[in-house]
Amino acid sequence: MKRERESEILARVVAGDVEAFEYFVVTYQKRITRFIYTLLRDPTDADGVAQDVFVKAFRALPEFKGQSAFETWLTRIAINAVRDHIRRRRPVVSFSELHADEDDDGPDLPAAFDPADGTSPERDLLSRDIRHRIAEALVALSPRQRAVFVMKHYEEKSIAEIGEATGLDEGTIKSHLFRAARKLRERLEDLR
Amino acid sequence: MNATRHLGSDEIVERVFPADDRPIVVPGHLATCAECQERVANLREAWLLDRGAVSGAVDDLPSEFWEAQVAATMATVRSGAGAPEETPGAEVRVFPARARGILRHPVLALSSLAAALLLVGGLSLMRSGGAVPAVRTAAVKSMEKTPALVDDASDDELLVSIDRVLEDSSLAGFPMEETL
Repeated sequence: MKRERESEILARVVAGDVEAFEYFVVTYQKRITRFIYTLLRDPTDADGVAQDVFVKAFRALPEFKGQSAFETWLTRIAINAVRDHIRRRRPVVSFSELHADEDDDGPDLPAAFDPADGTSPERDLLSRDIRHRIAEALVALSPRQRAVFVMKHYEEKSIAEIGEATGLDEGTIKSHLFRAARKLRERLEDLR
Repeated sequence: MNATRHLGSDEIVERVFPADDRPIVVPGHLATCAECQERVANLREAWLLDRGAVSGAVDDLPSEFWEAQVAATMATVRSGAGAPEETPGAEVRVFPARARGILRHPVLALSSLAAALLLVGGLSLMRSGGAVPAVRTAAVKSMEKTPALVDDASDDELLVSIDRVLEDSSLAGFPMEETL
Protein backbone atom coordinates (compact mmCIF):
# COMPACT_ATOMS: atom_id res chain seq x y z
CA MET A 1 0.00 0.00 0.00
CA LYS A 2 2.76 2.38 1.06
CA ARG A 3 4.82 1.39 -1.95
CA GLU A 4 1.93 2.10 -4.32
CA ARG A 5 1.33 5.46 -2.72
CA GLU A 6 5.02 6.28 -3.00
CA SER A 7 5.09 5.22 -6.65
CA GLU A 8 2.23 7.58 -7.30
CA ILE A 9 3.97 10.50 -5.56
CA LEU A 10 7.22 9.66 -7.34
CA ALA A 11 5.48 9.84 -10.68
CA ARG A 12 4.16 13.28 -9.77
CA VAL A 13 7.64 14.51 -8.79
CA VAL A 14 9.22 13.17 -11.97
CA ALA A 15 6.44 14.86 -13.94
CA GLY A 16 7.50 18.20 -12.46
CA ASP A 17 5.61 18.52 -9.18
CA VAL A 18 8.64 19.47 -7.11
CA GLU A 19 6.60 20.17 -3.97
CA ALA A 20 5.41 16.56 -3.86
CA PHE A 21 8.97 15.54 -3.02
CA GLU A 22 8.50 16.98 0.47
CA TYR A 23 6.56 13.82 1.34
CA PHE A 24 9.77 11.77 1.04
CA VAL A 25 11.83 14.23 3.05
CA VAL A 26 9.28 14.31 5.87
CA THR A 27 8.76 10.55 5.83
CA TYR A 28 12.42 9.51 5.86
CA GLN A 29 14.34 12.39 7.38
CA LYS A 30 14.49 10.87 10.89
CA ARG A 31 15.53 7.45 9.74
CA ILE A 32 18.19 8.81 7.37
CA THR A 33 19.51 11.39 9.85
CA ARG A 34 19.73 8.74 12.59
CA PHE A 35 21.60 6.39 10.27
CA ILE A 36 24.04 9.09 9.21
CA TYR A 37 24.48 10.31 12.77
CA THR A 38 25.29 6.78 13.94
CA LEU A 39 27.96 6.59 11.26
CA LEU A 40 29.45 10.06 11.71
CA ARG A 41 28.67 10.78 15.36
CA ASP A 42 28.48 14.47 14.58
CA PRO A 43 25.04 16.13 14.64
CA THR A 44 25.95 19.07 12.41
CA ASP A 45 27.55 16.86 9.80
CA ALA A 46 24.63 14.44 10.03
CA ASP A 47 22.17 17.24 9.29
CA GLY A 48 24.16 18.49 6.31
CA VAL A 49 24.75 15.06 4.84
CA ALA A 50 21.08 14.13 5.33
CA GLN A 51 20.02 17.20 3.35
CA ASP A 52 22.55 16.27 0.69
CA VAL A 53 21.10 12.76 0.51
CA PHE A 54 17.60 14.07 -0.23
CA VAL A 55 18.86 16.55 -2.81
CA LYS A 56 20.86 13.80 -4.52
CA ALA A 57 17.83 11.52 -4.40
CA PHE A 58 15.68 14.21 -5.97
CA ARG A 59 18.16 14.71 -8.79
CA ALA A 60 18.51 10.98 -9.35
CA LEU A 61 14.79 10.24 -9.21
CA PRO A 62 14.47 9.55 -12.94
CA GLU A 63 17.00 6.72 -12.41
CA PHE A 64 14.91 5.10 -9.67
CA LYS A 65 13.23 2.11 -11.26
CA GLY A 66 11.29 0.98 -8.22
CA GLN A 67 13.03 -2.39 -8.10
CA SER A 68 13.76 -1.85 -4.42
CA ALA A 69 11.85 0.12 -1.81
CA PHE A 70 12.42 3.86 -1.90
CA GLU A 71 13.86 3.66 1.62
CA THR A 72 16.43 1.08 0.53
CA TRP A 73 17.41 3.23 -2.44
CA LEU A 74 17.69 6.24 -0.13
CA THR A 75 19.89 4.25 2.25
CA ARG A 76 22.22 3.43 -0.59
CA ILE A 77 22.51 7.11 -1.47
CA ALA A 78 23.14 7.83 2.22
CA ILE A 79 25.97 5.29 2.38
CA ASN A 80 27.64 6.87 -0.64
CA ALA A 81 27.13 10.37 0.74
CA VAL A 82 28.68 9.40 4.07
CA ARG A 83 31.59 7.76 2.28
CA ASP A 84 32.16 10.92 0.22
CA HIS A 85 31.87 13.07 3.31
CA ILE A 86 34.42 10.98 5.20
CA ARG A 87 36.84 11.09 2.28
CA ARG A 88 36.46 14.86 2.01
CA ARG A 89 37.07 15.61 5.62
CA ARG A 90 39.82 13.28 6.75
CA PRO A 91 40.72 12.77 9.51
CA VAL A 92 37.33 11.62 10.63
CA VAL A 93 36.06 12.70 14.03
CA SER A 94 38.76 11.82 16.48
CA PHE A 95 37.56 10.31 19.67
CA SER A 96 38.66 13.32 21.72
CA GLU A 97 36.68 15.50 19.34
CA LEU A 98 33.73 13.18 19.66
CA HIS A 99 33.42 13.94 23.35
CA ALA A 100 35.16 17.31 23.40
CA ASP A 101 32.35 19.13 25.15
CA GLU A 102 31.76 16.51 27.74
CA ASP A 103 33.17 16.25 31.19
CA ASP A 104 35.31 13.43 32.49
CA ASP A 105 32.26 11.37 33.28
CA GLY A 106 31.76 10.67 29.62
CA PRO A 107 28.97 11.59 27.25
CA ASP A 108 25.62 12.86 28.41
CA LEU A 109 23.29 9.99 27.81
CA PRO A 110 19.57 10.36 27.49
CA ALA A 111 18.15 9.73 30.97
CA ALA A 112 16.38 6.55 29.94
CA PHE A 113 19.68 5.07 28.86
CA ASP A 114 21.86 6.35 31.66
CA PRO A 115 23.60 3.32 33.18
CA ALA A 116 23.85 5.19 36.47
CA ASP A 117 20.22 4.34 37.07
CA GLY A 118 20.29 1.43 39.47
CA THR A 119 23.87 0.37 38.81
CA SER A 120 27.08 0.76 40.76
CA PRO A 121 29.58 3.54 39.92
CA GLU A 122 32.13 0.89 38.92
CA ARG A 123 29.71 -0.66 36.50
CA ASP A 124 28.78 2.76 35.17
CA LEU A 125 32.44 3.56 34.59
CA LEU A 126 33.10 0.25 32.90
CA SER A 127 30.07 0.67 30.70
CA ARG A 128 31.20 4.14 29.60
CA ASP A 129 34.69 2.83 28.96
CA ILE A 130 33.32 0.08 26.72
CA ARG A 131 31.08 2.55 24.92
CA HIS A 132 34.04 4.78 24.22
CA ARG A 133 35.95 1.83 22.85
CA ILE A 134 33.04 0.80 20.66
CA ALA A 135 32.81 4.34 19.30
CA GLU A 136 36.57 4.44 18.74
CA ALA A 137 36.46 1.14 16.89
CA LEU A 138 33.55 2.37 14.82
CA VAL A 139 35.24 5.56 13.60
CA ALA A 140 38.37 3.55 12.83
CA LEU A 141 36.47 1.38 10.35
CA SER A 142 36.35 2.06 6.64
CA PRO A 143 33.14 3.81 5.53
CA ARG A 144 31.77 0.62 4.03
CA GLN A 145 32.61 -1.53 7.04
CA ARG A 146 31.09 1.09 9.27
CA ALA A 147 27.89 1.21 7.25
CA VAL A 148 27.55 -2.57 7.25
CA PHE A 149 28.27 -2.79 10.98
CA VAL A 150 25.77 -0.05 11.86
CA MET A 151 23.07 -1.57 9.69
CA LYS A 152 23.55 -4.99 11.25
CA HIS A 153 24.03 -4.10 14.90
CA TYR A 154 22.41 -0.69 15.31
CA GLU A 155 19.53 -1.00 12.87
CA GLU A 156 19.13 -4.77 13.17
CA LYS A 157 18.99 -5.32 9.43
CA SER A 158 19.40 -8.80 8.09
CA ILE A 159 22.32 -9.73 5.85
CA ALA A 160 19.89 -9.81 2.89
CA GLU A 161 18.63 -6.29 3.67
CA ILE A 162 22.18 -5.01 4.01
CA GLY A 163 22.99 -6.64 0.70
CA GLU A 164 20.07 -4.90 -0.97
CA ALA A 165 21.09 -1.50 0.39
CA THR A 166 24.81 -1.82 -0.26
CA GLY A 167 24.85 -4.01 -3.35
CA LEU A 168 27.33 -6.31 -1.60
CA ASP A 169 27.06 -10.09 -1.61
CA GLU A 170 26.59 -12.10 1.56
CA GLY A 171 30.21 -13.20 1.78
CA THR A 172 31.54 -9.65 1.52
CA ILE A 173 29.10 -8.41 4.15
CA LYS A 174 30.13 -11.16 6.55
CA SER A 175 33.76 -10.36 5.85
CA HIS A 176 33.13 -6.69 6.68
CA LEU A 177 31.32 -7.67 9.87
CA PHE A 178 34.12 -10.02 10.82
CA ARG A 179 36.78 -7.34 10.27
CA ALA A 180 34.73 -4.81 12.20
CA ALA A 181 34.38 -7.24 15.10
CA ARG A 182 38.11 -7.89 15.00
CA LYS A 183 38.83 -4.15 15.30
CA LEU A 184 36.43 -4.01 18.18
CA ARG A 185 38.13 -6.95 19.83
CA GLU A 186 41.49 -5.20 19.51
CA ARG A 187 40.04 -2.21 21.37
CA LEU A 188 38.64 -4.45 24.09
CA GLU A 189 41.65 -6.71 24.40
CA ASP A 190 42.90 -5.36 27.72
CA LEU A 191 39.46 -5.18 29.25
CA ARG A 192 38.72 -7.78 31.87
CA MET B 1 35.86 -26.18 22.67
CA ASN B 2 37.41 -26.77 26.05
CA ALA B 3 34.59 -26.42 28.56
CA THR B 4 36.94 -25.21 31.30
CA ARG B 5 38.67 -22.48 29.27
CA HIS B 6 37.53 -18.88 29.63
CA LEU B 7 36.20 -17.21 26.51
CA GLY B 8 38.73 -15.18 24.53
CA SER B 9 38.08 -11.57 23.52
CA ASP B 10 37.14 -12.66 20.01
CA GLU B 11 34.55 -15.07 21.40
CA ILE B 12 33.14 -12.40 23.70
CA VAL B 13 32.83 -9.96 20.78
CA GLU B 14 31.30 -12.66 18.60
CA ARG B 15 28.62 -13.32 21.22
CA VAL B 16 27.46 -9.70 21.02
CA PHE B 17 28.31 -8.86 17.41
CA PRO B 18 27.77 -12.03 15.38
CA ALA B 19 28.72 -11.79 11.72
CA ASP B 20 25.73 -13.91 10.79
CA ASP B 21 21.95 -13.84 11.07
CA ARG B 22 21.83 -17.36 12.41
CA PRO B 23 21.98 -17.81 16.19
CA ILE B 24 25.45 -18.84 17.25
CA VAL B 25 26.06 -21.86 19.42
CA VAL B 26 26.46 -21.02 23.08
CA PRO B 27 29.73 -22.42 24.38
CA GLY B 28 29.21 -24.84 27.25
CA HIS B 29 31.66 -22.91 29.39
CA LEU B 30 29.56 -19.75 29.16
CA ALA B 31 26.61 -21.47 30.78
CA THR B 32 28.56 -22.10 33.96
CA CYS B 33 31.21 -19.36 34.16
CA ALA B 34 29.99 -16.22 35.92
CA GLU B 35 33.10 -14.29 34.90
CA CYS B 36 32.59 -14.90 31.19
CA GLN B 37 28.88 -14.24 31.51
CA GLU B 38 29.67 -10.89 33.11
CA ARG B 39 32.11 -9.95 30.34
CA VAL B 40 29.52 -10.73 27.69
CA ALA B 41 26.85 -8.85 29.67
CA ASN B 42 29.10 -5.79 30.10
CA LEU B 43 29.82 -5.55 26.40
CA ARG B 44 26.19 -6.13 25.46
CA GLU B 45 25.01 -3.51 27.93
CA ALA B 46 27.52 -0.94 26.69
CA TRP B 47 26.53 -1.56 23.08
CA LEU B 48 22.82 -1.29 23.89
CA LEU B 49 23.47 1.92 25.78
CA ASP B 50 25.40 3.32 22.86
CA ARG B 51 22.70 2.30 20.43
CA GLY B 52 20.02 3.81 22.62
CA ALA B 53 21.95 7.01 23.16
CA VAL B 54 22.64 7.50 19.46
CA SER B 55 19.04 6.81 18.56
CA GLY B 56 17.74 8.96 21.41
CA ALA B 57 19.98 11.87 20.46
CA VAL B 58 18.25 12.03 17.08
CA ASP B 59 14.74 11.17 18.23
CA ASP B 60 14.84 13.86 20.90
CA LEU B 61 15.61 16.63 18.45
CA PRO B 62 12.89 19.31 18.54
CA SER B 63 10.33 19.59 15.78
CA GLU B 64 11.89 22.93 14.77
CA PHE B 65 15.02 21.07 13.75
CA TRP B 66 13.10 18.73 11.46
CA GLU B 67 11.04 21.56 10.00
CA ALA B 68 14.21 23.53 9.27
CA GLN B 69 15.76 20.47 7.66
CA VAL B 70 12.74 20.02 5.40
CA ALA B 71 12.72 23.74 4.53
CA ALA B 72 16.43 23.81 3.72
CA THR B 73 16.25 20.63 1.68
CA MET B 74 13.22 21.77 -0.27
CA ALA B 75 14.82 25.17 -0.92
CA THR B 76 17.83 23.41 -2.47
CA VAL B 77 15.57 21.06 -4.40
CA ARG B 78 13.58 23.97 -5.79
CA SER B 79 16.69 25.84 -6.85
CA GLY B 80 18.08 22.65 -8.38
CA ALA B 81 14.86 22.19 -10.30
CA GLY B 82 15.34 25.59 -11.91
CA ALA B 83 12.78 27.39 -9.80
CA PRO B 84 14.74 29.17 -7.09
CA GLU B 85 12.68 30.26 -4.19
CA GLU B 86 13.76 31.75 -0.90
CA THR B 87 12.57 30.00 2.20
CA PRO B 88 12.50 32.34 5.20
CA GLY B 89 14.37 30.95 8.19
CA ALA B 90 15.78 28.03 6.29
CA GLU B 91 19.51 27.83 6.25
CA VAL B 92 20.73 26.07 3.17
CA ARG B 93 23.96 24.37 3.94
CA VAL B 94 26.83 24.98 1.60
CA PHE B 95 28.85 21.85 1.27
CA PRO B 96 32.58 22.44 1.67
CA ALA B 97 33.72 20.76 -1.51
CA ARG B 98 31.38 22.89 -3.59
CA ALA B 99 32.23 26.10 -1.76
CA ARG B 100 35.93 25.59 -2.33
CA GLY B 101 35.67 25.07 -6.08
CA ILE B 102 36.92 28.42 -7.40
CA LEU B 103 36.15 27.39 -10.95
CA ARG B 104 32.54 27.47 -9.94
CA HIS B 105 32.95 31.21 -9.31
CA PRO B 106 34.84 32.62 -12.31
CA VAL B 107 33.80 36.21 -11.53
CA LEU B 108 35.24 35.91 -8.06
CA ALA B 109 38.44 34.40 -9.45
CA LEU B 110 38.87 37.22 -12.01
CA SER B 111 38.17 39.90 -9.40
CA SER B 112 40.78 38.38 -7.10
CA LEU B 113 43.31 38.29 -9.93
CA ALA B 114 42.61 41.93 -10.83
CA ALA B 115 42.98 42.98 -7.20
CA ALA B 116 46.27 41.12 -6.91
CA LEU B 117 47.61 42.77 -10.10
CA LEU B 118 46.56 46.20 -8.84
CA LEU B 119 48.32 45.58 -5.56
CA VAL B 120 51.54 44.43 -7.24
CA GLY B 121 51.43 47.37 -9.68
CA GLY B 122 50.78 49.86 -6.88
CA LEU B 123 53.64 48.54 -4.79
CA SER B 124 56.05 48.72 -7.75
CA LEU B 125 55.02 52.34 -8.43
CA MET B 126 55.47 53.27 -4.80
CA ARG B 127 58.91 51.69 -4.62
CA SER B 128 60.18 53.38 -7.79
CA GLY B 129 58.69 56.82 -7.06
CA GLY B 130 59.92 57.20 -3.48
CA ALA B 131 56.43 56.97 -2.12
CA VAL B 132 57.37 54.29 0.34
CA PRO B 133 59.56 56.50 2.53
CA ALA B 134 56.79 59.12 2.56
CA VAL B 135 54.24 56.62 3.75
CA ARG B 136 56.67 55.19 6.20
CA THR B 137 57.59 58.63 7.50
CA ALA B 138 53.95 59.37 8.11
CA ALA B 139 53.65 56.07 9.92
CA VAL B 140 56.72 56.79 11.98
CA LYS B 141 55.45 60.29 12.81
CA SER B 142 52.16 58.93 14.02
CA MET B 143 54.01 56.43 16.13
CA GLU B 144 56.22 59.16 17.56
CA LYS B 145 53.14 60.75 19.06
CA THR B 146 52.84 57.73 21.33
CA PRO B 147 55.62 57.86 23.94
CA ALA B 148 55.56 54.15 24.52
CA LEU B 149 56.40 53.54 20.89
CA VAL B 150 59.50 55.73 20.65
CA ASP B 151 61.79 52.72 20.49
CA ASP B 152 59.59 51.18 17.82
CA ALA B 153 59.96 54.38 15.77
CA SER B 154 63.74 54.12 15.77
CA ASP B 155 63.40 50.46 14.86
CA ASP B 156 61.23 51.50 11.96
CA GLU B 157 63.83 54.00 10.76
CA LEU B 158 66.39 51.23 10.87
CA LEU B 159 64.11 49.05 8.77
CA VAL B 160 63.64 51.89 6.28
CA SER B 161 67.43 52.21 6.00
CA ILE B 162 67.77 48.48 5.42
CA ASP B 163 65.12 48.73 2.72
CA ARG B 164 67.01 51.53 1.01
CA VAL B 165 70.23 49.50 1.05
CA LEU B 166 68.44 46.50 -0.39
CA GLU B 167 66.86 48.61 -3.11
CA ASP B 168 70.22 50.16 -3.98
CA SER B 169 70.99 49.22 -7.59
CA SER B 170 74.72 49.09 -6.85
CA LEU B 171 74.05 45.78 -5.08
CA ALA B 172 72.87 44.27 -8.33
CA GLY B 173 76.46 43.62 -9.36
CA PHE B 174 77.16 41.50 -6.32
CA PRO B 175 77.68 37.82 -7.15
CA MET B 176 74.95 35.53 -5.85
CA GLU B 177 75.98 32.81 -3.46
CA GLU B 178 75.99 29.38 -5.02
CA THR B 179 73.19 27.28 -3.74
CA LEU B 180 72.36 23.65 -4.32
